[in-house]
Amino acid sequence: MLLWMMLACSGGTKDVALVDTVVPEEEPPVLPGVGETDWGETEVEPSVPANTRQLKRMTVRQARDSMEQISGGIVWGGGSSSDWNDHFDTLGVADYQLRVESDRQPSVMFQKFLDDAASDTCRRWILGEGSAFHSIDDPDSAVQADIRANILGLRWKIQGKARTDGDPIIDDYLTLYTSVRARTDSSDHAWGSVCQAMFTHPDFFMY
Amino acid sequence: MKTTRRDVLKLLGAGAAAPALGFWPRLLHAASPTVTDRYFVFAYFSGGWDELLALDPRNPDLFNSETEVSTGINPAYGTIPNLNEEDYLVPTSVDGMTFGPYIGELAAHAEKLAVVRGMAMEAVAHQVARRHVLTGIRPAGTTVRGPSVATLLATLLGEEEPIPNLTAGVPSFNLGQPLWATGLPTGSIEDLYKSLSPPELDILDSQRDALETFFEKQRERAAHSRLRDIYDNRSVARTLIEMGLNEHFNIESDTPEMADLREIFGVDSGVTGEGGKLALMTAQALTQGISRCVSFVAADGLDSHQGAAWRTNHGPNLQEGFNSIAALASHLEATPFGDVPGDNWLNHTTIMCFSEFSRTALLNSNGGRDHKLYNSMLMLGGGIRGGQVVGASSDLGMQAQAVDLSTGQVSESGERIGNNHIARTLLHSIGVEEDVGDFRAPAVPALLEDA
Repeated sequence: MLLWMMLACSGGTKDVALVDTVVPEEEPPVLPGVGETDWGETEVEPSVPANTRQLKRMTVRQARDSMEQISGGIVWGGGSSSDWNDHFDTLGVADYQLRVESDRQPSVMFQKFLDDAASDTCRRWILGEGSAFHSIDDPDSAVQADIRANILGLRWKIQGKARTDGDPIIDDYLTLYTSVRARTDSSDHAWGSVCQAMFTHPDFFMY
Repeated sequence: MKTTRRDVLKLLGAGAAAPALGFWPRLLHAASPTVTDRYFVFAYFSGGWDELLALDPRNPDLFNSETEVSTGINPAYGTIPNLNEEDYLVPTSVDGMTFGPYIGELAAHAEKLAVVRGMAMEAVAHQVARRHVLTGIRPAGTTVRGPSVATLLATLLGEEEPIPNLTAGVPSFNLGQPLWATGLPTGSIEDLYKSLSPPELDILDSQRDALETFFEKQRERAAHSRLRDIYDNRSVARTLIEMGLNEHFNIESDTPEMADLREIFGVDSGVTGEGGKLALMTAQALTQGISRCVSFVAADGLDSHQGAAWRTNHGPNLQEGFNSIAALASHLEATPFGDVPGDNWLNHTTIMCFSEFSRTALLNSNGGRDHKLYNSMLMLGGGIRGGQVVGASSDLGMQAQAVDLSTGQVSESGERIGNNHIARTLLHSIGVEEDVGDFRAPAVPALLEDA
């Protein structure tokens, strides 16, 4: 053992040069026809931002009750019972015999009857039934500022959207209003169309 | 000119069809149907029918309260008020095809009927069993694991029809098939008429045009496919109204054609109940080129656990359902199909009558009948070999028995027929021999006309 230790100690006279082991970085090979921007690109739709959630449709009863409350008590069909109730089977409302879950899809049938309900409700609301429809003093006003103010007021009442201008859809509602007004020469018809558009827009029945 | 689904899809743009292509993995690679002029009717008898009262009776001389201990079967016809003894069993012109007292007018169509007896079910809960028979695949709990067979058939055959898959009171499921093949629901023929009609006080054309322009812009701006689907559904709803299909379903109309139909389907006489109106709706949907598959409730109120319900209501409800099927079959047979002389709509329509399960062969302590794991089924029309009984329930408790699928005869070396066999058979009947529905069971060649 002593001999082994002596041999180990005496072998160290040779200087070990400190070799520079750091190899200069080489440029990564550039593959022909492939750029960094091509990596990861797919045709899949951009993912939904993390702060959103899956859209849901309101139930038939919610649609019915919301429209009645918003309009100040106008019942679709004008009777004591809403026409919505007549279409429960078609709309897939749970009866807890054949169905224990209600259909919550924004289906063809739901949108058809929603359109019918909106048409009836809006027509009667503008004619004075229920609560006040307009948010401006002169509903016949052709001044754009007045029309926009009324649109914002309606949007607040029907869809619960804040009364701040700047959303591109306000311009679309304005276009709708002016188009119908020009073709029918009737502000009632024009406001009726705006009202119907708001009730049948996903901003009303999806959340 | 008939407006087809292709025209509807054109109105929507390719957007309606494009997402669907991603959901076609199996069907894209499956054989195309070789029979394309076939239509399908699924007639549901809701609640669990009593086979002893119609499809699978027993001779009360042999099976009665005295022998029930050893046989486990008692038809108890004698406990039903106002039922005459000579009406207990209804013989037909087909050897071996005898029906119970409430088969109604369908017995006259015996030569066209294929009765399947002794089927094996796998659930006695209504929702589960119903979903099993509608999809051909046992659900996972209550969650369906496949589309309705009607949806599958609509996908394969119904692209040209405006409403490929129409359902009245029958649940419809779409897993993995194009959105347009989903069953369009309606609660009644009256509701279908309203669904396809503009409102009584409609808005002006100019208002409608402006609204459609507004929503077209919203669709263009929609950032997510789900929103685009919503706008597309809206467009479909509008298009269906504009196609003017509603008049075919205006049962209150005083036109001679509708008056004839009301008489044929027993709407005014009441012999067919609510099922008669839905059978009328079915006939119109098929013969007017509107639908490829129609599912409807032919009879209701069959879940008779209580004795009073079973004795008083079950039989008449069943009979109304079978009468509506008889009316449908007769009308389709009398309606010419295409340009070939002598050809008729019944030759091109497969009608399947089913219930989620049947009822116990013995009365319960309340004098009614409970749910049973065995069943019967009835088929007629295009592609079906009529005038036969396939399989048989045992004379001990009316249990399922194994069947030679090629001959339809009871055979120990055969297999018990279930919902998956029937589903596979329907696809086979249009030439789709690959198991595109993943039913994992063979077809029943004995049921097929051309097998």
